[in-house]
Amino acid sequence: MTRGYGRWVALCCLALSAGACAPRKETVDPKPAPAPEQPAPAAPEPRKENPAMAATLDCVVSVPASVRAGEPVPLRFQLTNRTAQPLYVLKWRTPLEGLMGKDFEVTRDGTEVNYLGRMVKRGNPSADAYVTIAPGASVDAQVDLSQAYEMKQPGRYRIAFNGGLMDVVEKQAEVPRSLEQLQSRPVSCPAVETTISAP
Amino acid sequence: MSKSVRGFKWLVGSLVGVSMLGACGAPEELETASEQVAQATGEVAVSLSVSKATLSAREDVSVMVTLTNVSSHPVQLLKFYIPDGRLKEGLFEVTRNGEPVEYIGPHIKRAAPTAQDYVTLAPGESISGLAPVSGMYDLSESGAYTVSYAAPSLDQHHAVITKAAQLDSNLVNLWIEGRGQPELEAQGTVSAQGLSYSGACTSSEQSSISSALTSARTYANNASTYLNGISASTTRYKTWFGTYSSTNVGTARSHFTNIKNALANAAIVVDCSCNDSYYAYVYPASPYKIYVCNAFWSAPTTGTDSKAGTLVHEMSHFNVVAATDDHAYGQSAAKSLAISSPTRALDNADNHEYFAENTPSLP
Repeated sequence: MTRGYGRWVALCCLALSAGACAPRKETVDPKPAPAPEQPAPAAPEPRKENPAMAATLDCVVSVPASVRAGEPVPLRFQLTNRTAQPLYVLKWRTPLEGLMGKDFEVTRDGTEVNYLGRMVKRGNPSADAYVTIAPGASVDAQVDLSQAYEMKQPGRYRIAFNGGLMDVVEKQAEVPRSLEQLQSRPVSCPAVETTISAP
Repeated sequence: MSKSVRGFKWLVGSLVGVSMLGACGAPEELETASEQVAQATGEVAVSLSVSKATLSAREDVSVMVTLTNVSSHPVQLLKFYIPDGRLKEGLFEVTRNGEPVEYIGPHIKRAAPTAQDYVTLAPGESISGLAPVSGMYDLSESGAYTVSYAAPSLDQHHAVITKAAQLDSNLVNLWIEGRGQPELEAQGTVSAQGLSYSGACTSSEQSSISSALTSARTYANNASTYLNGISASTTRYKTWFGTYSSTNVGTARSHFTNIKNALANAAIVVDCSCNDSYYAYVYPASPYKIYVCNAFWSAPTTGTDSKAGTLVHEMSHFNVVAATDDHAYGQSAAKSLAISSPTRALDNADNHEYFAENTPSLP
């Protein structure tokens, strides 16, 4: 795959996702938009460039630079598979399943804000709790942080993804794993900031 | 509204408004369907009705929703938004004195629907059920309310229903007396045992919850007594909370003192409306309401991942109790957490549950 082709695919996907109503979809988007200056780990040969396990999935969180108080605070969460094989990722405790736990630490001007959402006790995951990410592909989801965090006060907010991924499976036959077999994997999503202005 | 009235009161209710919905023909057509909302042709009619138009602060507010396939062919509907009495999402747009009312219920973002997420309605067929308004929308102030059908907000795949329904104004008018937020309301309806129910718990469910609470109290009392009686590491302590230190055992003691006191004295509300595969969930900022789900009902009363242990787990989440999180699920991950990070183990609900369940029993 040449760089030119990669761009074409990304453009194509942008066009597709603009009109889609699904909350998330797999996109063949080898280069997430916010990271164009990073040394691009080209999708076709990721193994040579990223031998470390933790680097096999890239995570990008994005929020608008500013939001008016009282309005939704849309957060986009994207995982990209940098390996040459499909990965099966348990969606739990990531925005890929919505906000079903305190997935983010949110601070306003340095002080942690109250989490108002739910916390869920779960049994064994089912297969549909996993999302398949093809080699070089991304999955993403958008959630409204203001639904689960106190974000009505104007201020400078910092949003950091709390967790890792609770299970990442490389062999489809092993999906789903039982609770006792889950193999969590750290993932690094750089923290983001947004300014909430008075309405 | 209690379960006993479900299914019949709508007959005497005033049938208000009918709106036409564009239904999704099949999952794959969903995305294109949403593009065509404006000219939705209307295959499913929605009607809303209420049994009472004036509600005191003590009464739950629900609206009977009836979906009827008025087309000549079978249609498929997303089952998340079909009220079946166990619905836990807001289906409505609510106003008070003309102003929009805030949605305060759970906000769920789902994966793209698959074939099993749809139910098929034959031509002429109807489905109806009660959908909750109180507990889902801010009814803290008295006033003239309107309720219209609209699935929840924001970019969801079922936008086709939302927008189509909003095109038509099928409103129910209600006068609602202001009531406290759900947690305050719960305290007002507390029983002598400190336990009350919401979300249409059946009597057998209530008795099962009540037994589980009794066992949960025993678990918490025993755990608290145990922790207050140790002055050095033990197998049981180390297994679930990791390396012993006076600071850490102090945290564990204070957590279990709070869990024990809350289970004994707090106005606990257990809600049975959840129909998900989970054991249970809570909103940690809203004590002491615990929503129990499908896995809870199949769990044993005591032992590993039991009903009683689940109540300990959930109680530990409340900010005013122990403010725990869910860093890891299951015994194996909880044990690993105790080894890798005692601090996180002391902040993890399952570690508290397994310490309390103590199954198999450790010295």
